[in-house]
Amino acid sequence: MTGIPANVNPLTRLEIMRLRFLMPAALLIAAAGCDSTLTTQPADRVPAEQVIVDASSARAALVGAYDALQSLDYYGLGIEMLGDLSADNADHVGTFQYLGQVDRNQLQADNTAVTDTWIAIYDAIARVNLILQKVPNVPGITDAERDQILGEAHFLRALHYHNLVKLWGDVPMPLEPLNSPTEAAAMTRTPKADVYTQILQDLAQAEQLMATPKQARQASLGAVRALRSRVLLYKEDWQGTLDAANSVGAMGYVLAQNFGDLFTDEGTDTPEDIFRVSFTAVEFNEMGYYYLFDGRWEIAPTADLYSAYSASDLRRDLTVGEDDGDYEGTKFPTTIGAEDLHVIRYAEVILNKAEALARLGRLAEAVTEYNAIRVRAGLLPHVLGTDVTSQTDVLNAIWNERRLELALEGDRWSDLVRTGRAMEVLGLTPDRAFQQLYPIPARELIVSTGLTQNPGY
Amino acid sequence: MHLARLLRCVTLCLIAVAGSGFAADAQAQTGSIRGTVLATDSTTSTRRPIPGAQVTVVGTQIGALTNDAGEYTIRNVPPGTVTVRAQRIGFTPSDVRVAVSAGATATADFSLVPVARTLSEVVVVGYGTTNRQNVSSAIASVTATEIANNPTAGVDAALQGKAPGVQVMQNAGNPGNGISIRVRGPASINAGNQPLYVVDGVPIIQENYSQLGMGGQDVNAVSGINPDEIETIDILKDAAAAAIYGSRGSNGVVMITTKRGSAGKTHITFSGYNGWQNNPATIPMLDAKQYVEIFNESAKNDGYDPSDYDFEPGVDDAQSYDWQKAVFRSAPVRNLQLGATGGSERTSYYLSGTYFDQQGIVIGSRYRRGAGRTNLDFTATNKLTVRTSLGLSREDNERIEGDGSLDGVVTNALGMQPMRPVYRADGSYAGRPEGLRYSNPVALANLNSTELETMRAFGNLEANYQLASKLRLTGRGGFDVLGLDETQWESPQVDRTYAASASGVGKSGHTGVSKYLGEGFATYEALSAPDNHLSIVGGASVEYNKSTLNFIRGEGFTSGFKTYVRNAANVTEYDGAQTTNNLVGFFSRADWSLKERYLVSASVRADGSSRFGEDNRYGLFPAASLGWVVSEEPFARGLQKVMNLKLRASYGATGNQGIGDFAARALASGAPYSGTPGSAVTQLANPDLRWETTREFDTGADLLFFNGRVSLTADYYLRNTSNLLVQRPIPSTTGFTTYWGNIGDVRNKGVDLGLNTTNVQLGGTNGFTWRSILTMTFNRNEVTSLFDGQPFTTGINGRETSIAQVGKPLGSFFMYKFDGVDPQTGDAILRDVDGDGEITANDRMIVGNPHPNYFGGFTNTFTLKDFELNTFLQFSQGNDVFNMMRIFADDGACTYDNKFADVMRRWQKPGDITNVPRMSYDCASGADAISSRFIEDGSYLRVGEVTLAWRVPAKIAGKARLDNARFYVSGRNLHTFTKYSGYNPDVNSAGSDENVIIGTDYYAYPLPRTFTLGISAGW
Repeated sequence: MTGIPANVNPLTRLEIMRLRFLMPAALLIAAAGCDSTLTTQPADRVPAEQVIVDASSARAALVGAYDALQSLDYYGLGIEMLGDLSADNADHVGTFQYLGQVDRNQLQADNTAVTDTWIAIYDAIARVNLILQKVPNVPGITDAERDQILGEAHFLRALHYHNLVKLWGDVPMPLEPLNSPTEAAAMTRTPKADVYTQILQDLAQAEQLMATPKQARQASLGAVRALRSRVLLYKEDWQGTLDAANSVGAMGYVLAQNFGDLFTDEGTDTPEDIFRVSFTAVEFNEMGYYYLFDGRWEIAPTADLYSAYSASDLRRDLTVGEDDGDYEGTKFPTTIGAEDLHVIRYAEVILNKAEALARLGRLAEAVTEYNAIRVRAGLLPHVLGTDVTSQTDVLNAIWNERRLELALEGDRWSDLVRTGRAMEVLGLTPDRAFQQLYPIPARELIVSTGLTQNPGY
Repeated sequence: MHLARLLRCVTLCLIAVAGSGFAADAQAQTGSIRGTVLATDSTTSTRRPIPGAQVTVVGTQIGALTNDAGEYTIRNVPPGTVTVRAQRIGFTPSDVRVAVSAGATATADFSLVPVARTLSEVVVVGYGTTNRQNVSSAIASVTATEIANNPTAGVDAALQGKAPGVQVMQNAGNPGNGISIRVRGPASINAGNQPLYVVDGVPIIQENYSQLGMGGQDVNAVSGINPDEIETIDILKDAAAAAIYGSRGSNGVVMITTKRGSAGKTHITFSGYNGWQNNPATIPMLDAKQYVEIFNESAKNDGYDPSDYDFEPGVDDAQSYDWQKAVFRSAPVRNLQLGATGGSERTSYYLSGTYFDQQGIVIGSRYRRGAGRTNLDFTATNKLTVRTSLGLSREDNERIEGDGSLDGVVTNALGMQPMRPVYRADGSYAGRPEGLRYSNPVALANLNSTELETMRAFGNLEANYQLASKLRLTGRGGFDVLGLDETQWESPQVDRTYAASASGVGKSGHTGVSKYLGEGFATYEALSAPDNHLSIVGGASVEYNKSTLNFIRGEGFTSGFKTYVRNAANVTEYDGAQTTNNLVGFFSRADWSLKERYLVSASVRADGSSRFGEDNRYGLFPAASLGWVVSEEPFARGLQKVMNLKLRASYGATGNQGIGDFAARALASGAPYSGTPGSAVTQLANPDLRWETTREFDTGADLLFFNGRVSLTADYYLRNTSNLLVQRPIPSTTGFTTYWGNIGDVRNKGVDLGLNTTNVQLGGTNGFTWRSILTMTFNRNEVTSLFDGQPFTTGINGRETSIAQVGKPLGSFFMYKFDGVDPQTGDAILRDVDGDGEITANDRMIVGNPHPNYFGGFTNTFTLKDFELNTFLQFSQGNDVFNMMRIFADDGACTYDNKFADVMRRWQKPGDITNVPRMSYDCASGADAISSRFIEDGSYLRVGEVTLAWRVPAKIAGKARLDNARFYVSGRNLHTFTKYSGYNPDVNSAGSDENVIIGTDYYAYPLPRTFTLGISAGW
């Protein structure tokens, strides 16, 4: 458009003067503080750069690494639930169909429970990796404290990778924080053997760095050695398992006097505790909510588990409750979930040791070991030559004891797979043998170029 | 601090506007103009006064509104010859030239021609108004009468079927429920998809701030707007219209204008209705006899011995209970409104108070709202006007658990086995001892409570100053302050709930949300000749948003105590948080019309948002549109007698910033363990995060035939949304599962139509007339690009049944394909898509589309003498619904949930031809697999409204000293014709916040059928 049409009055001088006054004023107002207006800071979170910069923030990051264990997809429910639901200890009785898949060993690659547990474990690993990367260079921290923090972080990483390798076999193994999704997408699966090597290396470093001998709700030397006995049992290094178990025993751990003391509402300490995850009414677990009639009753102990206990077994009613053919998991005292859950306790170390001894042919010593568990349960001790004679008998007795002692604590499925009994015990047809490894979650395969699926899925 | 800064800004603006004005406003000798504004009916040649018409001296702020007799007086008019313009929504504006001399009164009478929503009504656009004639973009308008007396809480629900291109999904029928509105289809995957709501020029708080998840049945802040206070709703549909709202315009803009006063004597209006609602359709379920038959058959089919059967015929089926009857009820709804308008030449007011009370048709649910409004207009000088708009509301929403919850009232009523009683012999609620497998829904509704109380104040103060004859300045300060208080009590007396084992659960939450806005703009009438008109508006806007929340949950209450955590044994959950975001915008628009037939409009907005990274804070949103009034062309003179034709085309860009605050930054949160404070990184950074942008092309035509008897508005549009804000899934080896990125494109294209016709018009004013309004929208949605082409799936409660996939509509249903029932085995045949001989997750495929082929509304109004009959039909064709209730209610007896009666058609013996698989105790028939068997045709035709009204004849009304009085009887949602087997095909259990999960029915609350009796009167 060019020129002003003749019929339009131009602005009067007064109007122009007013404009001259107002335009700059308006611009001034508009421009004032634009940048400061657009720079806002979060009030209830902090920038990630402020994490792990001094002693107290390093300690806070370690606490954050334990916090990851409380996830409902990890020790808060997920990993224990999978361990019994995939096996013959628990049935799916609720409405979440994906748990039905776990129960029937008909996992699909997109199974929600399997996927969420995988995610929770890698979340926990990422927190540990950040500590292992940044804490060595943090100023203003004593060497002793730095070592303890790093030692605990190494222990946690060993625990996480062992959980992964038990359930999925070869897994991607980041040892440093991955900040770029592109870099993460290119990661491939590390062979199982190499993962085991890394686990043992982490445990060795943890033992070297850590000073605290015992503390139940954080990692300690006792926990490092106990986990080593478990890891070596899975590696079928019998002598190593035995040595590790003995090193735990030498620290003065003993069985709690009553089995029930281990699973009280309050989660009171017992001399049997090695490592448990702390829960409170606020940061709760959902074991009771899932296993009890009063809760969702989403999953239930199997009739088979109930009948596996003899009537005189003190553990039966403390593990499984029966009502008119329905079963609930009484090992978990309330639906509130404020009690601390065991990750590893001395009874397991004894069973690890018993099995190592049995495998090494030292049957009498093996029977003595697991008899401690039987006696505590109010059962008569086995006599070698009478109740059990062969190595097979002893191993079966240990495995049975392991099932009854650790029922609903998430041990059963990996134990069946480890000992090659899963197919037979669960009555799986050969075409379902591939289910002994969980599927790599479908979502990971979609977003990663480097990953391959386990066979069969 | 933000408030202070805002106040400073607004104060400065107002001082700048007002100060210079007062100084210059010396009282010169002036004259007056008076006259009447009448409506002319061309067919009958009768005239009636138009109250509330706006009469202005063109080029000034001087003006007045007509009284009920259509009379007006404008004082303080400077001497000289001036143009006086009269306009009123629904009429063609008219100009009169008149000479004013000092101390004298000139006369200017107007005769306006009514137009039934045609080319000449006043249309509210961003930062101004215009006439329909001058609009070259796509804007739909809905007037107060079209949404009046709709017995639902929200104005959004009342829009259903009224505006072409606007899809309104009710989601569920609970009172005060959040509604999903999609203007020209859904475009966003993770960012917001709801349009921007602007009330009297100020964007309002519109999101869901409730802290209590009620299983899909959500709320949003739009329900706080009282429909009774609304004068008009204009929906800016295309990018050219919405671009003036830049970063928030990509889902369209709903411009709401509230009622205002007019000069004249005080006019009181009263309206009210009382109604009754019920559930129009219960779902046929199995009775106890059928249930036992089916379940024993399931055990028999799987080879179990009769002694193992769960149920004993003759014992377990001796009694049958109707659980739906136990939870549904007939419920009242009422609305009372009292208003007053009036004023002098300098001051006018609109006052209104409304009380709305709707009890739900499901026990335990209720919504109440008290709302008040004060709108004042004050002419300070003949150059300065000041207006305030203030709305206050209080909402009380009594909510019940729904949809995805294990303690849902409707959910459990449908899931309950039919032989289980509601009550024990002693009158208490039945529970686990009576064999109830879920919590008793009647006990849930009566013993538990969830209350949401919302207090809200929103409004603005606006000053307009006519700086020069062609230049007007507007300063505006607006606010919207919302306080939500929520309490929830889960009684320990409801058996089989978590609360029963925890001795009761009590929760309290408070959320405070505020929005403050300051803006100033100048409107310059650069050219004001009728045949060469150019208007330019430009200004700036700043907005501060903040929300804070507190929450506490306690467990363990001793008998007699409830709800409040003070009396709880344990505090089990708590929260406290705050977040802010700010927006700064600069905008400008020019509208030029030449020879009343060439229209050019261009606008641009630059927006800055604190939500994005430092380098991407600002976005630029330009738009332009062209219009050509063909019938005004000399060569079309002949055409003009039969029709008026305008062609339009527009193109523009709009944005979407509907993501969380601070989404671009790496952040750490508290991560305590065992009572010790800890921290963990909880969000990965993406410094490149930026706006989602929609570019839209629109072309349309407005046609008017036979002197306005027929009018048609039609638009074709193509909207491409790119740089979608997506929470993209990433490898969890990073420690995170998602990451905000700008990934992917979605395209919506379609046609929307509005057709108004006067079909019959006989006799004089009292003769028979029949008018129709048809709106129709045809939209096609397609995801055109995603990160690396990766599809992603989502769904309710971990069941991933909705997908975003390139080449397919957003939210397509993704599951197994059901290929019928094997007549030999009775098993469901699921398609082995990858051909590996097994049915695995890899065999899922796209089996349905939740988007309709077309939808719309059809209104017919018949008048004869003092009677008016209004009917409204609403329809949607081709939308699929995933009836997710059937994963339990039609699962081949896999779960103990009661089943839809339709399962009686199940396969029973080899050779049976049916599409219901055999019953299988071991869940082995494939009936429980989530497959296309559960996808149903959700097409429907709904009798949305039938209203018969009687206007009290003036003679009688006059005796009662009434200006007007009207009685009516109305039925809403009377019947829905559909093949859908659930309650309501217009459903979405994922709620109004969800974008990808569409058309999924997971025990949604049914829509009520309502009958109301009402009256409106004025004096």
